[in-house]
Amino acid sequence: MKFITGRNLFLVSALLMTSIGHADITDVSCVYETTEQDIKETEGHSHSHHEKKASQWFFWRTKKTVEVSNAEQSFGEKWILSDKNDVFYQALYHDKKFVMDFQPTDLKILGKQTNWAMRSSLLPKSLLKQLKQKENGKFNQYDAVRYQGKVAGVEYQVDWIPELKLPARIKKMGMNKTVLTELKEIYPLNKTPHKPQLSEKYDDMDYADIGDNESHPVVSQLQKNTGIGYFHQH
Amino acid sequence: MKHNTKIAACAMALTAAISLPAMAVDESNESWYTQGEQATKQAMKNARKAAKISKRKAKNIILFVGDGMGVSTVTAARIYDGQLKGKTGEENRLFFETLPYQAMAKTYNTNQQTPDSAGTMTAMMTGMKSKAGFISAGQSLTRADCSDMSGNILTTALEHAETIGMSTGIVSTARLTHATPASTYAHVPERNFEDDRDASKFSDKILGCKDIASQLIDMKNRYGNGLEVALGGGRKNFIQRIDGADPENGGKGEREDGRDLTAEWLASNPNSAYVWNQAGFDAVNTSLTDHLLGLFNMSHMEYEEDRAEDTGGEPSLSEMTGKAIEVLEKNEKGFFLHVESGRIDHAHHAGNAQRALMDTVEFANAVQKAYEMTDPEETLIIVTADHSHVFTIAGYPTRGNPILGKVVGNDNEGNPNDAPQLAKDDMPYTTLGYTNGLGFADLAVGGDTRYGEPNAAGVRTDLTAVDTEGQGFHQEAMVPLGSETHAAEDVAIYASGPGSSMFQGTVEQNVIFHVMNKAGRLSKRSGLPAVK
Repeated sequence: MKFITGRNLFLVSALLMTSIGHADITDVSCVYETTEQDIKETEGHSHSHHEKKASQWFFWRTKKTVEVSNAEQSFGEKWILSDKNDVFYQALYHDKKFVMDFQPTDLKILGKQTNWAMRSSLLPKSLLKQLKQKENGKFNQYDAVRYQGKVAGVEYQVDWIPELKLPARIKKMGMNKTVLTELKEIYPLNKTPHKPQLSEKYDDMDYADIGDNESHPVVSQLQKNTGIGYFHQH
Repeated sequence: MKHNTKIAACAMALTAAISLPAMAVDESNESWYTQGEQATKQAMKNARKAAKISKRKAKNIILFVGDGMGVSTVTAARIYDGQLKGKTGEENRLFFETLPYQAMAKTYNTNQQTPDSAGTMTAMMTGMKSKAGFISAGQSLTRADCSDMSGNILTTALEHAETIGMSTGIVSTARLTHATPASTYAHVPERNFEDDRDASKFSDKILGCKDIASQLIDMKNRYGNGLEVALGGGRKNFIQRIDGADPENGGKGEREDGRDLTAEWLASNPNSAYVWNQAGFDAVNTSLTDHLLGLFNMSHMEYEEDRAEDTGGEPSLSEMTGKAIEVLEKNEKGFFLHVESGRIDHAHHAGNAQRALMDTVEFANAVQKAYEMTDPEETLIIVTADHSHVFTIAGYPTRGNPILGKVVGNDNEGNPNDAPQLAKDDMPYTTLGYTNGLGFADLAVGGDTRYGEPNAAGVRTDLTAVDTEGQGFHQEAMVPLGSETHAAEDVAIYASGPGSSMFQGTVEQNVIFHVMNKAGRLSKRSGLPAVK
């Protein structure tokens, strides 16, 4: 992603396929790219950068759902907000046509209770409050604000689009690693070329039932290879 | 009910337990002799009493099943319960261990040496063993194939009871559509067909059966006036897959057939109630309620360890048992009640002994509650397990060593050491362990959380600095599997009341049905065939 800065103005250029209307900016479909780069500290405190690992992922949002998926759409995750503000979580194994359902009680015992605002905007509200507002700019037609600062030993630089309540760019530097997440594409949900996989007809299982299903072909395969649990890392 | 009689009988049953010394320091040579002598006298009294009441009809029948509560679980829970009460533990007895009659049950399914809950509960409820995964369906069927059920619908004890006008009820901490409670009222050769949406997991051959949740609600169309009480988890299987269907959190249920089974329960049963949280449960007036449905969680109810933290609030197993009896005992013709502690099994699968033992202790409380609320002269109470788990009590811990702790042995003089015993790898080890499963983990919250962590079985961990008695501790295991498994050894049967003396020796698990049938004169009065 390219930056043009000057006189308190930065411009983020991105591949914006379709203009987002102002009527409903909640329902969006995005493509993000996350690049990870290890930093090795050498003698004399100089830093050497190692090979970058870049991956694209999809993000779909409505008022009551947030879904993400890897670029291959083989694995995704979905959070569902209930009328009473409880959050349900599903691990979507698209390649196996299988869904693992997590009830709010499961998320509670796992210590993974979801902050809906954070999930739907990809950042905890508290993070921006801890950073310093630096300059205003543009991300395509949207006003954007750059925030910067250090939290818990990690240096953050966030380009935030208030109108969409989404970041255009998040750069995290710390723990011998730089992680850069950039918004590459954004569409109204009803006009997106990137449709989420339909999972309603998949085989499903409650997380609490894994113990009874040790021989379930998908469960046993998952446990051997990728593991079962609450995965989200973004 | 007849309270004085009950108290007297209860006291008699507890005589041996009460006479036991509470603490090891109170024990003497003489006290052991006296305790053994008293237990023998009690056994003689029981034998005389058995002869007297063996021909008496059981007005009420209560079948308690601790899911996965093998003998090692009973032993460990007995010690855990005693230690929670500040005693050394080994001398303690869980309430149901004080019941006068006992036998052992062989648990295998017709197609599996180590059984599952569906086939075992089918044996207990119908008098016929069947295959793993089958819910009161005959062994000649193929799993998930309902294309021709004729000759394979196995009549259950609950259906006999309902047909002859007794009140009937089921209580479970698992989903009410889960294998054990389902086997009391449903017939399908596939335990995972819990709601109509599940049909898509199987071939069209499953469509010859109705889903399990609908069989519960529609039971009144087949037998008597249907269940009077159904209390447990599994709300999602009864409500529609539309936003806002769930009264607790506004989420969706599972049903896609347009049916809200909770609404149907209310509409089709006179004097009925449907509750889904502790407040609603507490508010039920049992004298005015003839049909009570309580679904306290979308899936399984909480472990007893975690129950206080539940968002909506959940009653305990003993509270549900008490409420169920209050509704059922109004029927002069008597009642049949099944009570399951469903999550002992789940905690073991996750390798978390503490939660399994805590649920077993609460299970024992529920049995005591039922015993105290009913007349033991007219109520057959059976307490058993469907199967065991690969759960072991090992090493040579000293007397009173914390059951969840590391093994601290005795020295050469027979006195306790002051440090844990070290294994040949110079690391301490716990008394409790599993032969297979996921292995060690020490998590903030124990139980099902274990499934999200890497498998650590087959390797030893240095537990020196680990609090193995905490609720987040998961015991070490030997063979790495995705979850800890059931075990094939026999399970115990404990019983009291009319017919209970028929439990003798080692029996096939399906004998449990025949004892209930004989004691309650069930099939004789219902006229229903054993197989349809």
